[in-house]
Amino acid sequence: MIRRILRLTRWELFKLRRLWMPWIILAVLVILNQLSLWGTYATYDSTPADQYVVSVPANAGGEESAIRVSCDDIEDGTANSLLADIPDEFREQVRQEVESHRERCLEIREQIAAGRQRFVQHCILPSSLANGLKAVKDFVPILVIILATSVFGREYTLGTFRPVMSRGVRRWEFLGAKALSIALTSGAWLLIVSLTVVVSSLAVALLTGEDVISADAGQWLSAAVIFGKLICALLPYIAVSLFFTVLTRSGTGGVSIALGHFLFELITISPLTKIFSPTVGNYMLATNVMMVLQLDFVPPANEGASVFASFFDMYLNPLLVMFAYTVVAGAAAAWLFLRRDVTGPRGE
Amino acid sequence: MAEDRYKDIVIATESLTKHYGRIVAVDGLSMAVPRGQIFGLLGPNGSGKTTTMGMLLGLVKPTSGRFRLLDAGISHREALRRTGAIVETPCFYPGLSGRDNLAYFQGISGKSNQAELNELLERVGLGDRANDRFRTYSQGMKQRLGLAYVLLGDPEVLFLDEPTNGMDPDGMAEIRELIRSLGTGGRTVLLSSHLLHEVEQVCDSVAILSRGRLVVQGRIDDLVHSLAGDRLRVRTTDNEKAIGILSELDWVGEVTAEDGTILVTAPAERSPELTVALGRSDVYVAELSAEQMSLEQYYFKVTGSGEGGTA
Repeated sequence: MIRRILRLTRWELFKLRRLWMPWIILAVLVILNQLSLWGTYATYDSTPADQYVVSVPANAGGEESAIRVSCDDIEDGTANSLLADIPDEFREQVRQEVESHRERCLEIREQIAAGRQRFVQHCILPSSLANGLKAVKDFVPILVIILATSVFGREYTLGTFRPVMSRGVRRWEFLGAKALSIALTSGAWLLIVSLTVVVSSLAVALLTGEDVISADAGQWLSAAVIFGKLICALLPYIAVSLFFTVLTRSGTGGVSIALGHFLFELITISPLTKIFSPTVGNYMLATNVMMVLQLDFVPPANEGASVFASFFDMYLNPLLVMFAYTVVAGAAAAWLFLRRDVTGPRGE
Repeated sequence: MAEDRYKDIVIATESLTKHYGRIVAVDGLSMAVPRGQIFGLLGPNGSGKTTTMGMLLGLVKPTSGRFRLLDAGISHREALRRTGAIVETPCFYPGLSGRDNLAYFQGISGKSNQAELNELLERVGLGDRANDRFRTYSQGMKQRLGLAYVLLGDPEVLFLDEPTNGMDPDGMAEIRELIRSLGTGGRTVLLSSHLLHEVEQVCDSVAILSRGRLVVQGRIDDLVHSLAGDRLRVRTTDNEKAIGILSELDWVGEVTAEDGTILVTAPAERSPELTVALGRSDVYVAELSAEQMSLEQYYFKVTGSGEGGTA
């Protein structure tokens, strides 16, 4: 049975590879992700690293003039050599003026270091991986809804259930293979997005002279957790999208209701919480998915505490809700799909 | 079902019924399709042909009744794996080439055989266009790809629903020939068509449906003969006198004039006696033949529908 589903999945992927839709969605994800990364790089690149320059007024030979001294000059003593050209009667005054900037230079150094750290966090591996996935996390559910409703609704539009089923393919196996192929395609999107992040991170490291991989090894785990959370978040949306498509027997109908449901939840969570109960949001799919995606996992502070226990404490309710939606919507889709007659092409 | 009764029956239905709300699409259909025949399913639009095919293929859930496809003791799924079917229009993936479409359907059946794909594409005349996308195919080419699809895996039973629909006359003749060749070697073909002359040329047996019910089923020759009966068409030198003479013969039934000839209900083997009887009265036979009925005439007679070339 599993072998048959895997075989069907392989051939569903064969069809998916030849459609434009998955490639367009992938391109959208890569563009969004790369814009985020290179946008940060552009900000970094325009930040002066050591060009804080002070112009100190100096009265030389009866004419007002100025010397330009950078923080680097102040810190490495070069400023003293610049003072040599200033007449003796003004030198001490100017030296004191230059010295007064030393503290400010330290502050600027700290700000630049913090900015660089943020940049490294964002653009250099492994942090860039986590950030790259975070940049697309809000779009992925919507794009998965579009993909799932489109590829399943297409079968109704074209009437291709008939030739498939009349070859002895069981309906629930076909539905399962569709769901699996959509999940695998979505996983492949995220992997490809991650790969493009890796390539871009290497390019950024080369351009800036930073280390290719920063010292923050914990970010590898963070990236893996975000990847896993995104995959988990997609499953209920795949199930819900398939259910609405089967219900309406149409890709257009399916995508309208599934996206409507997604947006309805996001829009109505606030009034529903006020009208009914503050816990209403605990049972809504969008709220729980957003919670899972937005809450960063914080490893336990005290030694000996289980990472898994902390993980489940944080995510148990959202994961249960997402699991329930996946099972209920998947079962409802299968039940409807199995009991209905297979019709010819419906066209749209 | 008593299995010995159905030993040589590939498709058997028993009181098969399908309701769509208050509409009865198929009403208590009991039909048997013998192994190794090209079996025609005839009936006007809405007579339940496609619904019947759909039920046999597991696409449509019967409201009541039973059916069996292929041998007893095998699952319906296994039977479907040994069946090739195209119902109504050939539905394929427009973005895939003809070859990729076939590869997909071959693949989901758990097989992979490029040589079979090439052979089938050549056989249906799509060898040159095999790598073009399905969306660029004409209606006739789509039908050809549909035929290649049903032949995937060399099935024992074929369901063909209007296989020549949209084809030009040359293509139709070619496909008719192909269908005839498919019916050899023990393979059974269930052919649904509106084209009565096509069915008559290709099929061994037919079942005629009307308003979801089976009107009649049997070998075409037997059915046509059963209504034509022992009818002779005679043209003589004096038809008026001949009618009088023939009406006097006690072994002759009804005698009527029609279009300058006389239709005589009498056993064909007594034609010589009929000729002698007329000759004795100086009435000479210019033409005498056993009356033939076409499937088309038969169809309109049993369904009570109007004249025309299609069902």
